Amino acid sequence: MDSNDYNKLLKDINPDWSYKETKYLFDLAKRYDLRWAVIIDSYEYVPDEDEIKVKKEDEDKVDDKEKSKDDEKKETKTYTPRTVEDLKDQLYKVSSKLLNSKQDDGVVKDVALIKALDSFDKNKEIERKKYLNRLLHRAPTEIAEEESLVIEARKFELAAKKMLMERAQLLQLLDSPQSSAPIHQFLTSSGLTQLYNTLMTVDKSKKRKTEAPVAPQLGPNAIPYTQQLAKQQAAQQQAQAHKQQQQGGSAANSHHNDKKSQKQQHQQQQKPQSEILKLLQSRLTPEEMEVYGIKFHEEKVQAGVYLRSQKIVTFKPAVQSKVVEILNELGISMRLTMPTGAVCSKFDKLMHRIASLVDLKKQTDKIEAEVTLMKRQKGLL
Amino acid sequence: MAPSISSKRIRNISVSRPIIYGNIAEKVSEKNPLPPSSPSDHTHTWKVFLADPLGNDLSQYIKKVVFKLHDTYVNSSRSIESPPFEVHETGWGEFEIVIKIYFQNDCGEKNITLYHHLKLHPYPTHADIQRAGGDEEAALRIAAAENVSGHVESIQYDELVFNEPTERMFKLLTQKPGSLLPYKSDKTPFTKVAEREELDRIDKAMEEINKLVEQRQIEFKKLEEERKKIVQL
Repeated sequence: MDSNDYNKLLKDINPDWSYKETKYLFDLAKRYDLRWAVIIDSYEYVPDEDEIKVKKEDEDKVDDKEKSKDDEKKETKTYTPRTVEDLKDQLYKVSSKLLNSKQDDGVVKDVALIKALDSFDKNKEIERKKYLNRLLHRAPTEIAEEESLVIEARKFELAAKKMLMERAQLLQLLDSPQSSAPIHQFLTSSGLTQLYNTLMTVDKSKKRKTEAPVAPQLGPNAIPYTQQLAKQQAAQQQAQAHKQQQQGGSAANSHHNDKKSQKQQHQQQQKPQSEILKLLQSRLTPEEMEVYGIKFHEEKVQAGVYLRSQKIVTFKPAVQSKVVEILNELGISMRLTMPTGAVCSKFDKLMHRIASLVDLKKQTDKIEAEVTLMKRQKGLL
Repeated sequence: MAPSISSKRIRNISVSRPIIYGNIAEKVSEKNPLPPSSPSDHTHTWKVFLADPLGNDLSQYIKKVVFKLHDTYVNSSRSIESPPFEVHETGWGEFEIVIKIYFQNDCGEKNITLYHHLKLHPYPTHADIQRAGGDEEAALRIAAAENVSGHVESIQYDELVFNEPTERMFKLLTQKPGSLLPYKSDKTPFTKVAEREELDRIDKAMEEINKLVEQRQIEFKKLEEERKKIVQL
């Protein structure tokens, strides 16, 4: 290729570059095997006179006097200062265009190579090198500061993740009350603590991916962060499996809503049950139960002794007096003659019913009063 | 047998045992003379007791019973540690007796307290009140006159319910089947029949209440609608 061809095709890539310079560049590149460090070192291109002229014409529009000075300088045969990026830029662009235009040969275009060549961006290169430079010249204090910032950022991330998870769990809990199990047992303080304890044990048995923030190890033994995490998780899972085995023996009797854990714990609970209870479950018929006065309860009842007649239901004093009145009208006294289990439960129901009747009466009275008031108001209208 | 009976509580279980407690009193008369040690102004001999309706031995699970009498009595706190758990005394007035039941030691149960009003004079019945024309005092007198034998009883049936008994307690309680009441009995008024009667009474009352509740509900709905209409006017 001679200068004419060059001027036709490749000049518009970068008008700064003459054919000769480009050829010189290519030669150098070939000689030094594309080792840019060497190339830039030995790059001493001296522009010819005709090139200066061309340049002069381009710069004519600018101030003449200044240009005349530049002209002089150029005439003294100094080489144009070219940066590595300039060289790279020119080389890649020219090669890319050449490769693109070689259609007549029938050679398959190396598209990947062309793409790679095209993707060279001079400005970006300059930026990148500047950045690297800065990085390498950081003061040690800066390095330490950066590291701590990174660690803190990771911590925040984890905390945020954890919070999201907990919030999701809470929402789940709130959304599905699942109060299928009776809650009487949980109304006492001991019941509450027991509920808390069972929830805690279940919580612990859940697999927790607690990723402790690890300081990035910069050094010869540095392993990628992800690998480190994986190691940690493996260790944790082992520990938790161990824990679960230990906990299996002492599972609490829980009415936890999680069905899986219920099943598990049910199976586990059968072990610590006493012999007596086993005997009972196997052998008792309803009559025998009655004879012995034994009663099974589904829910947890409060431990202790009490007298049946002492545990009949009572209400607030105002309500209570009315209830008693009604009872007397019905011919039943507050003191039951035979407070057996069946009688007491029936009596309880009756009391509740009467209480609701009293309540209903109150409401009807209220509404009646409202209606008469409104009637009067509207009636007068 | 189990190698060791722990004091662990058996969950989800409750055992109930019937008891009766109260007093019977008799007026002092020729047949029933005052014991020599008591002052002459005492008009009645009475005994307060705690027993099993079927006559079983309560000391199986009860260690001791403490009857706290009126302060005017010497040694007003009478502790009975072996069956029969009762206190014989004389007196002229009615007062409240506090009965504290203590269970066997290794059962792990606290004591429980019952209250009983000592009854010496017969209460007037309906008939008596009617005859007295509504006058309480007169009725009382009539009742007293009616009560020829001078024998007065005030006995209460109740049940001790042990929730989640310890294993030891459970053993004690179930050594003998003691919970079943007699169906019919002349010895004690606390029979299954009585229980049945009570249940029936409650059932009847329940029905009536339900009827009333329904009525009220209908009324309520009517009033609600009225109110709505008026509001929309």
